[in-house]
Amino acid sequence: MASVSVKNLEVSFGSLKVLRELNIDIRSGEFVVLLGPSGCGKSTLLNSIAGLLDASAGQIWIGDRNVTWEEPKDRGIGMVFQSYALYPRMTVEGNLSFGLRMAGVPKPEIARRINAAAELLHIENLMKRRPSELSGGQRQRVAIGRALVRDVNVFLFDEPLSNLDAALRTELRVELKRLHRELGNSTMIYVTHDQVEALTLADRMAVMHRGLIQQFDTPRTIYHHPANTFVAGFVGSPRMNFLKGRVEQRANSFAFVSDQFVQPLAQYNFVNATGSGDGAELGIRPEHIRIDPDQGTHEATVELVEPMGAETVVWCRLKKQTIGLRLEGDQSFETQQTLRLTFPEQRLNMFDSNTGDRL
Amino acid sequence: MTAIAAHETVLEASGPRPRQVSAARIGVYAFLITAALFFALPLYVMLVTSLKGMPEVRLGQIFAFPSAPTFEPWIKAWSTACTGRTCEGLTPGFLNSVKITVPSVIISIIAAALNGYALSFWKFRGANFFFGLLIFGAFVPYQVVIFPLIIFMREVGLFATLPGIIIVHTIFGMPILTLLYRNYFSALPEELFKAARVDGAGFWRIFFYVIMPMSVPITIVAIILQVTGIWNDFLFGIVFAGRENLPMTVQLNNIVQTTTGIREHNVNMAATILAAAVPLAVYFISGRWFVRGIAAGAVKG
Repeated sequence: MASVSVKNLEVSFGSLKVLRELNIDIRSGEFVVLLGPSGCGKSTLLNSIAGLLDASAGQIWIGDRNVTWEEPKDRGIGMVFQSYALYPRMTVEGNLSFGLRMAGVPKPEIARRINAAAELLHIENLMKRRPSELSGGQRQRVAIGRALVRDVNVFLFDEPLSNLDAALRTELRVELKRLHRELGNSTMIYVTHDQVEALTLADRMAVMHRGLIQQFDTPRTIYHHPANTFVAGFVGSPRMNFLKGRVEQRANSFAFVSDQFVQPLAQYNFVNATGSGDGAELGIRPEHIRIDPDQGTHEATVELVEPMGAETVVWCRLKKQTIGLRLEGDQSFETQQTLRLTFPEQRLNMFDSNTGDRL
Repeated sequence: MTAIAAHETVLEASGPRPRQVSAARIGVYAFLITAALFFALPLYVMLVTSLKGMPEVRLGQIFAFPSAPTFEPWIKAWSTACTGRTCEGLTPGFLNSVKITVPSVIISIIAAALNGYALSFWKFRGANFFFGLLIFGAFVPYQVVIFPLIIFMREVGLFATLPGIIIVHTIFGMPILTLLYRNYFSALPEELFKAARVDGAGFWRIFFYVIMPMSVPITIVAIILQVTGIWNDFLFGIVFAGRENLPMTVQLNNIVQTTTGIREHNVNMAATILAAAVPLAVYFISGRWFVRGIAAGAVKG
């Protein structure tokens, strides 16, 4: 049982402030993913929670203790690293037991905990091997085991799957999720730049950019109701289409007006009134655009087709802008073909062009 | 398949086949062999001379093989040759060199490994400046510091003592060894260090349980550098060791430079080879590691 709270955290390297005024509250037992492009400060945040980086201001609370100035070992955390970071000169058993030996845990207890972790991760038969004699997947399992034996409530993962090949990554991703469920009440904080990992694993995910948390919510909300253009553009692949224009009031409803077309917004739920009114961006995900030969209001020309098996991505030219469509894989298209498209209103995302915030 | 192969007869590469032996190759080998002979020649002369009796040495045929090989000069060089007033051969010098080299090597390597470890993993404010200062020490000519160091040693009461010479060797080994260790450590993944911290190991435990076990290759290199360097040292030995602890190099010089009586070239040669035996053996046994260490120190800045 341990919640994690970061309060007004500031971390700087020399004169460079990587994080400032950062706040995040993670509930006990929650699986939280920190997602963002490289250099956004997500690993810095994780390392600060672990106690491997000193905070220049602010506080970090784990459970009901203020651990801001405590040593990593006293924080009740276990950590898994991208490069596994297994001690190369020790066997798997030695790696798993190292932390316990350092803490002076009695031998029978060490053996009991190691066996429990090994069983959970299916590495019982590797105990006498050195890390160099293991495959990537086995190494990462051992690294997870090393965090598990510490018998802690908070687990920190720093891009643990990035060094693995695609198939193994998918496999271990599922295992991690299962592990979280089997452990019951463990809080997990997981850093990644892979949005698929974030969307699949997270109970809640925090999208970070330039040292700031842009949005902290469930994957579903983040995907379907992104808080700003950064989140909208970063999450989802191919990325969301953005069309520039402005929001105008017509009769008793609003409409999005651009140089090329008018899109009624009668059923759109504005969160922020209508913004300043001067500039707006319409965002729509590639899979939400419909082809409607009869009632389609937007005419687009096919420029490029990317068949991907299960789906086909079609890049079209809508007047002067390029938009992507994600469609069923069994349809075929030809370049220069004209498509008539509709943008379902409830699937639209409106943003203020100046601030990037959701309207 | 077979039909096609039969039809197309044999496929051959076009153009002339690259020749195994070219003129350039022969030239390279000729040069290498000549150079090797050139550098091996003095050693050959020393060996054959050391195996000759004095009458044969006087003939002056330095390249001739000894007519009646004898180990007499070797025995004399080792145990009875005179240095000044004492006539004990190189034995005391050898023992002194061992007494100086072994502790100096051990202490300097432990200190340098700790330096490198602290500089690469426990970065403190001004660590880089400190490291720069240390490296600068490698470029200070020894002549400049010898006199101040003599005074310092005298003041602390260590001048002309065994601990004194050991301290001097440790100090002068520090810049290059620290550079070696720091560069090696900075190539180790930092996450390993972080993992050990999360596991609850502190400064010393990380050093002994995690870092040092991974440092075997670089430690071998450091041992080679220090053993050969300290064993071959003449200057510090003659200045700081004191009469009782003169190393082998100094005694060799005393044997060779003795001006009374006849010059026993065969004994001098034998003594020289004996004095050079330890570094020679180290080079031969560990040449591979030595090259690796030089490269490790040179490539990464």
